[in-house]
Amino acid sequence: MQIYKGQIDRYLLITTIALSLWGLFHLYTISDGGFFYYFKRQIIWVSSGIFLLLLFYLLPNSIWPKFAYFIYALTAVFLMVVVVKGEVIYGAKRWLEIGFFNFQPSELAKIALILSLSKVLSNQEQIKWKTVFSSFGLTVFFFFLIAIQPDLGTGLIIFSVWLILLFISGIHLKKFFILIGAIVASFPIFYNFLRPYQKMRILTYFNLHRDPLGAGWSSLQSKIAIGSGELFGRGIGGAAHTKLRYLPQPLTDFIFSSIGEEWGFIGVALIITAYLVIIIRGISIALREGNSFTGLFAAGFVSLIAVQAFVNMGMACGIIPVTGVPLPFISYGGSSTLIFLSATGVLFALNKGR
Amino acid sequence: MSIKYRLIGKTNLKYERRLKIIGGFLFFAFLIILIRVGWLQIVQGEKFLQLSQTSRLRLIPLPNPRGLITDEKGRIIADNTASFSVAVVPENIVHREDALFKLKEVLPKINIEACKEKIKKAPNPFRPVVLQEKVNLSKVVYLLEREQEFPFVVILAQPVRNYPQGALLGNVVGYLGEADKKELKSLSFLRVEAGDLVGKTGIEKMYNSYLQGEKGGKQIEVDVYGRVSRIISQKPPQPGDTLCLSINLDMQRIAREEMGGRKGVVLIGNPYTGDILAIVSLPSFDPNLFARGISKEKWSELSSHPGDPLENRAIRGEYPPGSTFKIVVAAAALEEGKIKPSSTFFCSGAYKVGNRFFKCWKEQGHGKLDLEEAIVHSCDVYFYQLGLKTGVKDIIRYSRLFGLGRPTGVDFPSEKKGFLPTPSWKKQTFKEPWYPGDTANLSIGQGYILVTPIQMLDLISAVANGGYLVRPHLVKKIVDVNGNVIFNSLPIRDKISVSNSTIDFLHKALEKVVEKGTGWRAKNKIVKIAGKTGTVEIAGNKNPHNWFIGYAPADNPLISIVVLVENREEDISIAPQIAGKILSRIFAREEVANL
Repeated sequence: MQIYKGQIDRYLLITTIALSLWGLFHLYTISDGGFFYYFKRQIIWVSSGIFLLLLFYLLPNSIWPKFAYFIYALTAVFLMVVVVKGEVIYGAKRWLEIGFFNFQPSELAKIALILSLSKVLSNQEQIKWKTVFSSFGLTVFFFFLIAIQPDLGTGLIIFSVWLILLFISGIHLKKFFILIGAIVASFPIFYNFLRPYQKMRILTYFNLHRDPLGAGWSSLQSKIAIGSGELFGRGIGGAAHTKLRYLPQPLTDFIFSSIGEEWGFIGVALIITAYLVIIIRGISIALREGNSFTGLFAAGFVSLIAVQAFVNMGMACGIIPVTGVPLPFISYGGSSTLIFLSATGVLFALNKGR
Repeated sequence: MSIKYRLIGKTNLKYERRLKIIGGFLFFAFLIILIRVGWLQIVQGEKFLQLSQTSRLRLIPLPNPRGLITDEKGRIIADNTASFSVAVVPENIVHREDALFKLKEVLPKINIEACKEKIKKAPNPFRPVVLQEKVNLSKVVYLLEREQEFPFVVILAQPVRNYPQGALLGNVVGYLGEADKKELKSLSFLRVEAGDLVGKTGIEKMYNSYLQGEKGGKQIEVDVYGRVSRIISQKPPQPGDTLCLSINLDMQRIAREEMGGRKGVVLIGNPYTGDILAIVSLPSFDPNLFARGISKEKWSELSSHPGDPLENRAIRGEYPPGSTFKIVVAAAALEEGKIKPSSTFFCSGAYKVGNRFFKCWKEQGHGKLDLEEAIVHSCDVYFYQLGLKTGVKDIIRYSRLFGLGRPTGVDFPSEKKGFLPTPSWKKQTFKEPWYPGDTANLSIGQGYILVTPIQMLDLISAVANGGYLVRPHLVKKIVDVNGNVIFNSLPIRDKISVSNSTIDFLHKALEKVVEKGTGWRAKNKIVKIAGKTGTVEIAGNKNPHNWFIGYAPADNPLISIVVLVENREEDISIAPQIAGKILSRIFAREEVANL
């Protein structure tokens, strides 16, 4: 099917909504493990998210490049408020309480940063050091605000998205590798600033079974949940390991593991296929739009989805340390669901053309 | 397609290439995930499924009560009570430094450091860890009443064997212990698993398969906190069968009291049915010590005690019968026609056999006496001559007929069978011929011959009941949990080929033993007793053993009795006196009429 400018990308639309609805249905199937409350709330998030998707699609798309920095500034304010007085949940301040909704500004920060980076890096024939540093400044400011919450996972994800966008926008490879080298060199310094539990998580990754009740517990239980799904899964509603709470955070961080247990390899393959569809469709928009604001936003957004999904799934199956980032479109959570669906709406809007 | 691209030239181509590179990277990253998940789910899925199940599913054994043991009237000899353990849930105690100190105020015996170590090593922080076993009930109640103060405490209950009669029947009922390797393999311990308690001695061992019952169990699924989420399958525990013993606790108690602090045996039986009504073996032990977990010191004290309190000497003790054996010699001589009851021998106080003098217990001699007088006064010289006339062969043959030299078949583990010497045995063992002196010794129940008290009960019962050898038994009936009688002991008896005239003669003679002979101390106003005494000289400087075997009433026997006092401390013949006291107390009770 040939997609013309102005036409909504149906594959992308169907895939994102299907993933959201599947996530909702999955939540329902495990809700008799005491999660029914979360299922009901997630109905609200998914339906509001789809509403926002349509709303942003219909809004004039010129507002996004125009207000990119404004949105960035607003998000920065939110992030700073969180640092000063946020809800402490699981030992981290990540939430702002707004009525019955605990808003997580770090989710907004991802999109706000991509909008700003798209503006800084778009339509550049040559990426100069000046551009590199201004994009770095935007990124590292958010990175620190998020990392001190502490939410290292999200921080690292936005860092990766920045590098990807820099690479795509045509930075000279020499500059790129100097940059990478500088970042790698700063790792040991950075490691010293990590919280003990973050160091622990990184360390236990290398020796998972050493401390099954401590930091390695989540990882081990997650692997057990996924593995016990086998090829066809334990059947709808049959995810015993998840329902009996052996799997920690089964709705957010480890939802992939509960899907693995319930739906088996078939279900996992379907999810991965869905993400690949999103990547392919996003990149094809980016290819068509060139290194314009729209093109870079498309590339940045699907990179964000892909990197975050990779990190979430990777930690669920034990190939990267446990960081605690949601699985895009699927994990329970207001902020994440709303932001990802809205941003999809923004992508569709930008893709309309002027 | 490329027409649609907005930018032209080199930049655009580079952009396009780099986008594709990123796309390729991301595709590759997802491929890694897919491979990894495939590895976990398809290659290792079975292992992880098993891991999931072992963490979720548990087999909880449901302990079953062991069968009861009662006396013939249904009074409890062994039942079950609960033993309580105090445990804590590690997860609930982690943030409470004071918890263990608070608990120590109630249970001063716990060691805080050791408890901390135990809690630290717990495999699952949500499962209770036992800190003290066998906590007494008042402390359990105290802790339960103050649940709010001790939210971290869990009380666990376990059934424990209880013997309300204590040492009264210790070496009869026996005790329990963990099944050993041999027992686990044996067929009579079917369904027994490692760690289960089984009868180690006595009735508990003999009837273990009935008493054991069957453990129940349930397979449950628990959540990560150890809460039961569902019961997958369940098998109710099957209580053991109830054993109704033939023992009468009143008689048992009377017999025990009359023995006082002496070492020895009292056996009381029904001469017609083989019911053992009382079986006292002293010293004894309290089987409750074992049920509640015996300490090392207590165990070594019991097992190395010179009096062997763990043994039941009524069934497993072997002694020379002494003069009580004269009953057998007399019967053999009469039956084989060697003498008539009126035949006389002369006792001068000693009798020369070969070149050796065999003494009578009465040094000045009994003079001339017939068989009845010889029994009444227990004349040794008469029986030396009678025995020599009868011959060792016939004496041994009649001993066998009366049940000596072989197990009686009583329902008790590892019964001893005593020993009957023969000339061929002597030749084999000592490379010596059987001398007439050996026969003389045998004739008064001394020398090589050994009997068990239960054999003597069988022997005297056969005399009392008119010549029937009855198999003695301790268990009268077995009743299953639904009240169905699954076993009822029927008397098993064999007629001994001894004529009625011989039996009648023995009745008369034994009656006179108590009336005016060596058994006079058994005489009492309540019941007429018949019987025979025996005194067994022991090599070395030890006091003699003292026997009395008899029955009452003499003219219509209802009860037979064996009393054996080991190394009597009194100078008098104490066994008939004890028998007399026991029987008079028993016959003073109305219930005897119902026997």
